[in-house]
Amino acid sequence: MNAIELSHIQKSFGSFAIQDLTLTVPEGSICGLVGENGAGKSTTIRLLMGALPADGGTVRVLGSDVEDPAFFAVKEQVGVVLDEAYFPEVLSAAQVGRVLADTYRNWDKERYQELLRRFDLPEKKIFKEYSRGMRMKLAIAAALSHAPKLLVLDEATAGLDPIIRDEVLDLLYDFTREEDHSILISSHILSDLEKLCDTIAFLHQGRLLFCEEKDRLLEEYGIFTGTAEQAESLRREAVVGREESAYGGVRALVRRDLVPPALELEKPTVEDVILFTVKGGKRA
Amino acid sequence: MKALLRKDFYVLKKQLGFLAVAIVAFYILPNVGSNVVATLYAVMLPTSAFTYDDHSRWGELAAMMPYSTWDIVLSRYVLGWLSVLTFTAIGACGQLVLYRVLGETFRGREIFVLVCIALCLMALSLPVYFRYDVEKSRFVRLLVVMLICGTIGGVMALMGADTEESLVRAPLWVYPLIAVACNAVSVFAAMAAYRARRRKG
Repeated sequence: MNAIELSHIQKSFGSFAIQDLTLTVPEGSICGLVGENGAGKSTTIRLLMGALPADGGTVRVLGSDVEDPAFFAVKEQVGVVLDEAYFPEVLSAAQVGRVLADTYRNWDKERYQELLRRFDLPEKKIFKEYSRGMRMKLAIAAALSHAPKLLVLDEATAGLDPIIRDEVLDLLYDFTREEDHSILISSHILSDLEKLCDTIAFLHQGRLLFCEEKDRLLEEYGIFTGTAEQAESLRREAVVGREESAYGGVRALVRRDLVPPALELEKPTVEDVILFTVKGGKRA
Repeated sequence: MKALLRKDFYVLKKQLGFLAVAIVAFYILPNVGSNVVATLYAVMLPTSAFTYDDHSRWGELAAMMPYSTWDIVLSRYVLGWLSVLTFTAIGACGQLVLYRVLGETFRGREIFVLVCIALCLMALSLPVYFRYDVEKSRFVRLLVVMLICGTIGGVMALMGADTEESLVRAPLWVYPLIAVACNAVSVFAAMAAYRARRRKG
């Protein structure tokens, strides 16, 4: 079963539109959703949680259509962390826990308290007095405390210091040890996604440019470094994007299957693939 | 719905304490006007909750949690009904005790009518708050209340009836009937307004 299935989704707001978005996250996998600000990542997350109705297409989460009244029960199994933790500012972590205990039938008070201790979050301090990092940690603790099968995280690691970020990534790894647990995570911190994700989906101006297994993606492309003359000798369709240095050197993302096998290429990072794809698109 | 009421209770806890004290003070003052102020303040508690929600953008998170539209809408009405009825009861008890000691006449009928009018005003306001953000809602609510009250007053004037006189002389059962009808219609209007807002994103 797929944890998430978006099929031919259309949604427009004035000049911005999500166009024919088809994306699948298999059960047990971690999918990273990447894209610049305003690319449609948060809109996609709202669409898949049924918080925003699509103009066209279908959305299924954990086997249930989000338009179906039965999806209401499915939401119990989805932990959501948005780009900000939108809890009322005058609530303390303890009060947030009590509100969520009345919200989720599977609320695990012990797990919540254990996570508060692990993240060093004071129970009595009100949310307004928390730093951004503490707020995000509280949101993550809340999302993990009602036995979800799917985690949907929108910029959840933004604003966290590297140590806590690493700890959060470990928690997410632990979460996916259960074979029916899945994660969709959007982030600007591509190194986090590279560490964590099985697949990378890249949204650009409301369109899905690719959704591929991370390892396959990194094997499919290579980084060419050489002179402008060497770069010109490459087949045009092999070059996804290129950048030229002030000294005449060229660095380009190329498709490995379209360049001579003897050509030495560096292994790209996810960030390379994303940046060159966008730059290449702009150049064209 | 219990979760949403609990959340509102935590958010409004300070105001609730202040209101409990203020309402007794307003109700024991010897004029109906102070009773009106106190009850209207109680009616405004749900709109205060909207202000806190807007500030923290709670609505965006709530839309992704297992709360139905019915839960989200009805919890605000329940908060309003509970606050108006509870605080008016507290104020009325204070008035009853003090006026008995002072030998004054308890204004039971006025308080009953006031509660029903307050609930009608709440019914006019809440759908607006479910449709727009708080800033815009304040303005739209004013327009809606003025438009509806003005229309009723205008129609009654055309029929040759005195609005104030009619309010005072109408049989007592008419008031709760109108309040219940207004709130029933309002709940469904608020659900439509909430869905429309969500569709717009």
